[in-house]
Amino acid sequence: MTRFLPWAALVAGLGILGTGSPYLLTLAATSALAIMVAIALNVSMGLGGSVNLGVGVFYGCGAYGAALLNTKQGYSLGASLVVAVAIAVVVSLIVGPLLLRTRSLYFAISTLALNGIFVDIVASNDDLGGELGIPGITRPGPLPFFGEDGDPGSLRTMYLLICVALVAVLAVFAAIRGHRVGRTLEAIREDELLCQSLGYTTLGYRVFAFTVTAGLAAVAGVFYAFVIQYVNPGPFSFLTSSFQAFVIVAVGGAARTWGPILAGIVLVAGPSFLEFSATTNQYVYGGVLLAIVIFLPGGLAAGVDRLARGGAATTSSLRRTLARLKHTRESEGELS
Amino acid sequence: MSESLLTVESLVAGYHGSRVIDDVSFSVGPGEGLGVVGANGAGKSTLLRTISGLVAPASGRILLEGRDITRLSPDRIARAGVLHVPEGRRVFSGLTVHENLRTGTIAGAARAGSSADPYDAVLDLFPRLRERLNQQAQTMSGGEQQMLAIARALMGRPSVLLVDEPAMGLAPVVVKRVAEHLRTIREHWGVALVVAEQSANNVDGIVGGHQLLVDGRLREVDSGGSDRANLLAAYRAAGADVPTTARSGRALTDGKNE
Amino acid sequence: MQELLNGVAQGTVYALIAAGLVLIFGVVRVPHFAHGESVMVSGMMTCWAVTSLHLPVLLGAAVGVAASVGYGLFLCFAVYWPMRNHPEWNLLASSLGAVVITQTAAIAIWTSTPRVTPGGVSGSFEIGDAIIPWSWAVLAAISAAVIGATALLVSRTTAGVSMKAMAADAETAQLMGIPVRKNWAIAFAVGSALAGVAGSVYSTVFPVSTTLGLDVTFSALVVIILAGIGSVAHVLWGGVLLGVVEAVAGTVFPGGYQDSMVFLFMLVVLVARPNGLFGLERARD
Repeated sequence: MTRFLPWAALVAGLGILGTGSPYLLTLAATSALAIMVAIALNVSMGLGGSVNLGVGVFYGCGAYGAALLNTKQGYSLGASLVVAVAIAVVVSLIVGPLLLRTRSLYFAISTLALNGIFVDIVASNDDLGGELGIPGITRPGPLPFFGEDGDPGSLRTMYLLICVALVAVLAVFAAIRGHRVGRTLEAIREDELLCQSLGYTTLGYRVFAFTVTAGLAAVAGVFYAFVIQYVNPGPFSFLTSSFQAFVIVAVGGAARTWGPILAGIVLVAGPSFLEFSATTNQYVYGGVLLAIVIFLPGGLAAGVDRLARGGAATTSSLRRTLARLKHTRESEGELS
Repeated sequence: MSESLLTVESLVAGYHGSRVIDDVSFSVGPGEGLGVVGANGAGKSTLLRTISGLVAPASGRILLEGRDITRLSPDRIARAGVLHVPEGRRVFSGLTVHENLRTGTIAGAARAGSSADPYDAVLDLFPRLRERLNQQAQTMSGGEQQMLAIARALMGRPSVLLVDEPAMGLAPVVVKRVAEHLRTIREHWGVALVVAEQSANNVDGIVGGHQLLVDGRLREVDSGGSDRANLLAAYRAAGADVPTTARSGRALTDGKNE
Repeated sequence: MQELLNGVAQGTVYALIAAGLVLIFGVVRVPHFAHGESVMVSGMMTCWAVTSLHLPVLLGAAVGVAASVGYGLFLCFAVYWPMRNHPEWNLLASSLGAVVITQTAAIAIWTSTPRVTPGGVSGSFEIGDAIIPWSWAVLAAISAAVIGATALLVSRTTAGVSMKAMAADAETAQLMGIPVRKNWAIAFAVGSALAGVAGSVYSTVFPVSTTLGLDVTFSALVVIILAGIGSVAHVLWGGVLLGVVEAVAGTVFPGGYQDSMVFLFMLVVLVARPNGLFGLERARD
């Protein structure tokens, strides 16, 4: 029963925000999108252990894909969603296996380079809007139950759809984490060589995680394009998208389902509702990141756990299993 | 036994709460040696790594010339005169033989009152290295790398030398040569030597006597060899290689303690 | 020709910054993404010392370098050293946190307007039909000289050799009595000093702004990846190569895409050499 408590709280929270002013709705929607990108990243970075600093590329693929499909081809939100996400997945399947040849820090640097290339291309190419970007994306009409004039401009409709997407993306993450695939990914994160020696095609799993991250980030991108109705290179640069997602995952607690939600509330939603200045916001960002990484390496989610359990330290059962496997392998290897 | 250089008192150590080393005590004096013989996983490396500060002990004390070094960092322990030749040799790749030797001088230079630069004396002991001073360390053969690893530690003018599996992966003839060097270092340089090995006959040529490490505890080996059958059983129980010479009935009396 | 020589001059500065990062990244293995902030801090402090305190340029540069070294050592001991046993991405996260705070504070203090330190070398000379400002030549000469001196320091001194040993195998280095904490301090002090020299000299020739840090770090990473090995001397060639590639990309694609060229170049090298920039992977258990 307690399992469903956080989900109920999330839905209730989103519902309460949904009654707010258009200004509040826009803030809540953009915060939800930032959290969605972080949840996407949490698949490859949290579960898979590949620190991907280029998730903005796929967020951007979704947004630019949707913007072009809608303004040039007249695609609806639903059709754009299918096609733009498919594009992002295909791109990730092409670049993923190449970039994933590199490890740890080098993977982080190469994804960062990919982000640089993406922003440079969309900013330099006039067919992609250049520095000015692509305006004029048309939102879908209001949902039927709002009635004829219940939701002018469809902002509330967009907000509701984004909430549904957020819950869905979070559910996908939770499902992967609970599934055998998620556990294998975590095992690969802890000891890739061991998993290889146990017969797992680890590259395949890492590409899978990379692609899921790309696809989910693209979902957020499509909704970004339709709620903001305008895309330009800025929001998809390293610092504003990829880095933000990285910080949210790190602060929330890598591989934790509720980590990005907690960190997103503290880092994104909180400061925008409190209307911090851009400068204060950056201090909060940097300061919270440093403090959490230094003093609470498991992130906010681990902190909440520790509070709930009265301070008892726990070793993950996964780590213990791995240690045992490793020990067995070593003694076997040495005997033979 | 003369005055003790290195004393280990009821040492307990392990990882994540497990006890790999369980209540180990011994002491070695200048020019003396101790062979620690045990199977894989018996805790030989953990014992040496705990003495040199890489593993934090759960309890117990380590004394060097009466001074407590239990909680010092590994680099401090090395500068105090306990040098560790790690398992697998681990010469610095990308550095030449000469540069590898120079890294060793850092430990010795830190100690006041140390005698002259051991560079020439070390190279006299290992003339092979003198021929290869400008070679990249990682391009040398396993035996040469082992010599370099020992020579590198000697450059730090150790009073205690810990050597982890010096015979690992080496041809028998090379093992013999390494053993001769180590014996020279103990007998003529007066260094206290602790050698970990899987096989007792690898250490018997180097140190006077040895002890078995079983389940994290040191067991005395009666070097008199009065009850050979029991001893062989103890080896087998410990999973150690049965010393080949033991079968001929010589080995265990050969390395009689001085 | 003009562009090419400009590229070479820029490239030597990249190399100088990268040489500092090689020391920190190679020896201590900290992904110090705030390295570019050291360059920025030095450039801004030099400019401030010369324009506000009316110090001569050389003294101003000394102020800049000192600030840079102080900044590097502060991060070293306040942030990275306490976290030395944490996973690599935690260190990466903390360095990015430092970047954000530093950049925000710098903008608050100095705004984001680019500025040039007055009083640098003036005049120019000609090679063929290219007109080369003396300041470019001075910039390149100082960079190359400082890189050379650092390379000598690493290869000729015991401290240098012990740092190479740490880069090769940190645990064994400790067993040989190499003082880890002291070497961290040396690596950060010398590495940040190189960044500081780059920042102060650069600020007398080209405008510097408070937002350049992260871009500078990226350029330095590209140089290290191009240079391929953890050798301080090789970095000079990597830097010049990057400077020239940028200059060429600028002429071939005048409408943008320079960044893409550089990043693409970097990606190709990385994917072709996936096992690390230093030929040695971090052995950590």
